[in-house]
Amino acid sequence: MIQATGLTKVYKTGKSEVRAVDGADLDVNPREFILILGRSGSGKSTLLGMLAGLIRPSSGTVRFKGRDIGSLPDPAISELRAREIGFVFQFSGLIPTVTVLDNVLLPTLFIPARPEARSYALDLLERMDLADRAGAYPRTLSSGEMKRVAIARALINGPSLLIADEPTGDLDAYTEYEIMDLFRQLNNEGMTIVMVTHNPDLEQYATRIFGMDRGRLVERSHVEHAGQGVMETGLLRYRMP
Amino acid sequence: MNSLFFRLIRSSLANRPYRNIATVFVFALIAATLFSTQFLMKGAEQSLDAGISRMGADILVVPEESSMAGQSIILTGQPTSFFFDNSGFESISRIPGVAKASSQVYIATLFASCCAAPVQMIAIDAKNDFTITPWLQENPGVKLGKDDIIIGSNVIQNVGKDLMFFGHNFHVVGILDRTGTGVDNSVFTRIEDAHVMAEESGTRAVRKLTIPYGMVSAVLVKVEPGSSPQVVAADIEEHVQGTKTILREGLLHAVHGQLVATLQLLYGSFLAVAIVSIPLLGTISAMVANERKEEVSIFRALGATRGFVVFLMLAETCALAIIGSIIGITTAAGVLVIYQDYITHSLNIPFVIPSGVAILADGTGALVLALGIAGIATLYPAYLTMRAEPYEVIRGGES
Amino acid sequence: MTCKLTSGIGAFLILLGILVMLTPWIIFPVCEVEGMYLKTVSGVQMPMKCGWTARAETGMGALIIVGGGLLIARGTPETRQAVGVFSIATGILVILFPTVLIGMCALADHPCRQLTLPALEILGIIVIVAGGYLIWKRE
Repeated sequence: MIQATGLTKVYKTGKSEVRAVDGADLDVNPREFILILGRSGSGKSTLLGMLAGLIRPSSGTVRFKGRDIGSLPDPAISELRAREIGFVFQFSGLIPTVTVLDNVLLPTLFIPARPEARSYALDLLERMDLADRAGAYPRTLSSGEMKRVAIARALINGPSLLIADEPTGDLDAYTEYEIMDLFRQLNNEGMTIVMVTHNPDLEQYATRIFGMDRGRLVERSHVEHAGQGVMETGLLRYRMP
Repeated sequence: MNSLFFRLIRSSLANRPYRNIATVFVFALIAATLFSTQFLMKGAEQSLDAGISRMGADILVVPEESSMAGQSIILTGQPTSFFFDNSGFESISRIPGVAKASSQVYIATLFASCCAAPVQMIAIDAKNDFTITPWLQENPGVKLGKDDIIIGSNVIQNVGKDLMFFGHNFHVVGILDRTGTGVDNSVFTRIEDAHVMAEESGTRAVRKLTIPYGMVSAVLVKVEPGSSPQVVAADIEEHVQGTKTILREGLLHAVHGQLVATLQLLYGSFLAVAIVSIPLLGTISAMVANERKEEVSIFRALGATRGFVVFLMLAETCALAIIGSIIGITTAAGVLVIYQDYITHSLNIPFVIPSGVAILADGTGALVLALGIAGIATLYPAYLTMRAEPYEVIRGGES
Repeated sequence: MTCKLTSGIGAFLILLGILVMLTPWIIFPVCEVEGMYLKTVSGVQMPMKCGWTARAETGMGALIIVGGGLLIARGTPETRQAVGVFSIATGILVILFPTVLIGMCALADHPCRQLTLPALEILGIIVIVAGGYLIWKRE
């Protein structure tokens, strides 16, 4: 699905240079759950940004379903992000001035209008156990609830790839596992996931694990989960066409 | 654009009430000053047109020494009396280009009522008058007979009642529409009735009035179609000694002269406000854009193009511009309408509330200008947005 | 609506009431203050219409002050609604007295028509708007 070759990002601060990502190679195949582990400052978020086309690499290429996103103009990359990639940020990234439902619907503004979007959004919230909070504002939600809304938002346009940047970084342990279970369900239903974290305890959820240190990416293990079929959890039953 | 887009704009505007109120206030001020200027200009022009067309003449011929008084009869209704020899009337009628000529006598009165104020009496020659006759034709039930008067809109009396001038009773048979000019403070009667009033005034009135026979105050001239009023007026002054002509353009010029100081002040204020507001609004927009960097980055990460983000910022500023303009225009219109009497008297100009079409046009012009300024003010924050790397902000500096 | 905002609007109403009372006598005085009176046939001097309007507006101003005071003393939602309705009614009367109910001098160059009347109309509109706001935000 994604082929990243020789990805490098160099930041110049005054006279010195910082290599945030140094020659990373990454092949992401459909239905994989990729976990990238590393401590703060290792370059994992920069790598994610380049995979999603949000950060222009200093060198190297990223191909998404065969297309070189580096050569695409901004409108094309934006459309690709809107349709194909669901993004979950470290902090929930909800817009505080609009309701939970409108937050989930936000990505629908960037693709041609679909009449069934609203009912699909309500379905997603139902699956997240948040249907009764659709009219509430984010400030009234707990951090776990906000994260679930963020995940629903990431799914609204029926993406083929979910990118999560330290999605559990600001959660307590109990809520962290709740969210990770959700990710596992999504992966079992066929969603491809690339996630970065600094918490090694989350390795158990992934099919492939990478480590990142000082900008260098190294694959650590490749796990075949038993019974990797589609489980009828119903989360993605109403995937948008 | 679906309703979510409008909800986004509305919630974003509601989130920063004080800053948005300040922005709305600036737009209101811009729209109000431009609108007021146009409103006053149009009001003065329409009033003058109405007043002049009520007089019905292209040229007013008055005694040379009374030309200022002649102007003020039309413009402000300052009552006056002056006369010159009617023999000039025949000469004027014979000047090439003159289609019709009609003489009038002007008498300043002391109008005896509870709120005493002088009123201009204009005595017309019913045989060749073209001032009041058209109005009489539009109102076929009204006849100007013996001792009848037709009064301007500012003169206080009702149709069917009487008014007394110099001890002589006149019957009010009609009231003219408001023109905003001196015609509103005038009453029209026949010359023969005016002469009777003058004769009887010795015994009946507080003050004796003398109207010399064979003397008139002014001759109104209508030029033939295709003839130039300026040329005919010059001819009249050349051939009829001791006269001065007053033309429509001359009156317009006089009015503009009085208006110029006020209009300069208003246009100056408008320009000052507009010039100051652009950097001010740009600064406010840039501050808001900076605060919303994170929000913008989220939009971009979710798939928004740069163009969408700029469009969103522009839509928000334009929404404020529209709200501000509507508030400014309605407030300005309200104040100008409520204070129209004060404006007319303190500026000493003719004024009538412009037609609905004119008001709509002015309002639209002010609104379009405010939107233009909104667009310009959004340019700098839009440029900043285009340049920014969105994900840097989301990461918060962490790599 | 917060307590502070309610009291603020109450104070604003009191200010408006004072202005309505003072406008026809001091701020933009009517004709009789300028020495212009109506003389009857028998020679008696009487105030003109604007003088009677001024007296009526004095009463209206007092009523508006009472409304504002009530709002400060007791800012419950019911009081806000009542004072709101009351303010709209008094505001309408402030405008109607000099225009329809009693009137002002008919001549356009009298001070009562040029200055007093517009000022009262504007004050009336502001009182109406304040009353409308109180009803809108009564909760």
